[in-house]
Amino acid sequence: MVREFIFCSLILWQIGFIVYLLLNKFYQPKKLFTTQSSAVEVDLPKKKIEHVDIKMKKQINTQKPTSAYVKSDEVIKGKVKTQKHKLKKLRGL
Amino acid sequence: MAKGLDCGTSFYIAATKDTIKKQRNAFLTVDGEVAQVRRMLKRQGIPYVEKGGKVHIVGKHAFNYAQIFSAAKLRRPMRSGLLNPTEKDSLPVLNAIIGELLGKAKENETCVYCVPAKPIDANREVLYHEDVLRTIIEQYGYEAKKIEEPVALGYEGLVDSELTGVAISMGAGMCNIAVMYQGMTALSFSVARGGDWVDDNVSVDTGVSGAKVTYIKESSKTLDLSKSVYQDIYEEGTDEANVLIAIRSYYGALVNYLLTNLRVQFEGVENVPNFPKPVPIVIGGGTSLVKGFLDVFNEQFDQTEFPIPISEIVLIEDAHTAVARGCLSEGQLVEEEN
Repeated sequence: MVREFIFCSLILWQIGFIVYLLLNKFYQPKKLFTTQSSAVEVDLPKKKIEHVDIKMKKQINTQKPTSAYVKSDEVIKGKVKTQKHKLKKLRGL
Repeated sequence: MAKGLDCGTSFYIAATKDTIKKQRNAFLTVDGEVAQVRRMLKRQGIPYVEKGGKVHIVGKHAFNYAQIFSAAKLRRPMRSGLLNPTEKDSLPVLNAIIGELLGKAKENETCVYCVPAKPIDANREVLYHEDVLRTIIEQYGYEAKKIEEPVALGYEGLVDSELTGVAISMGAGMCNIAVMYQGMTALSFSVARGGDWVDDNVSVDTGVSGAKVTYIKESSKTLDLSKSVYQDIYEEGTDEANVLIAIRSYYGALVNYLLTNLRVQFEGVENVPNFPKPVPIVIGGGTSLVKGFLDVFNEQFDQTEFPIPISEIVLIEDAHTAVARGCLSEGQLVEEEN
């Protein structure tokens, strides 16, 4: 009696399990039409969109003169006054 | 030994610790058989550049010739602060001028050159101009480093206010402006108007050639823009009086344009610092050399409309070479750091 009970119970469990698997796989509930659309959460890319700077080798032809004789219009000799020391101090160098 | 180079529309100025060299940035093409012209110029000690079967007189001699022979056309390698796109023969001339001013570099020498800030009223980029100058300077063996022209001026004129204030470099082709706060540039830009704009308009209004107007502006002993002086000194009706009065007028318009644009730039910028106390405006550049310039500037300046509290408006000492000296300071510090 007990054996038969266990046997029937196992069969019922197996049938239930198979029905569950089949329903899960093939059965889709009918969609209800709603007027209100729900928001969809989207993961936005975290990276900021920005340009990439490129460094390229520039080949500029600066057209050297065939011949030249140039001397400066004005030459001022003597110590040139600059603010280098104050600038250095301001920069903490 | 570090060098500073101010690459201006009207003058190229190089500074080292013991020398300043200036070269007018202009040339004039001479007709005739190349070898013969070259011999003649060399004999007379007149600087020239030869390229592509043409001989060009360079520098102040070209400028002087243009005054004497009104038919001779003075050519300019640069216009409005940048390389002149209509002047096809300018690069060999610039190459020779830079070569003469800097000479060949000895070992590991740095040359800091200035470039204009981006113009707000001209559809031009500064990049090509920068690259050409860099390439030429590097050809002579230097480690080339650029800084913006008004920043170089700030390095000379704003050190006593801890590099805080407004630096305005008034050149021939452009006016460059930088608003600095503790050495950092909060805002910089340029307007494509300068001394040439004044000269061109004066020339149109008075019927005197542009080269002649420049000559009068730079060499007239009577030119003084101070209001009290200019009303008494000139005889009405003479050519020179007309030119000088027109020059004053256009100087006023130029300063007004500059200040208005500076104010408008402030309206659109978020990161302009709120200066806790009034800051100085320091002015330099060849266009500010004219006597009485500060009077005109002060006339146009209105603190109530200006967005920054200003403590004083000063003309920097030796305004013509200030940018070159600023570049030199930067170059010397770069070399010391290395």
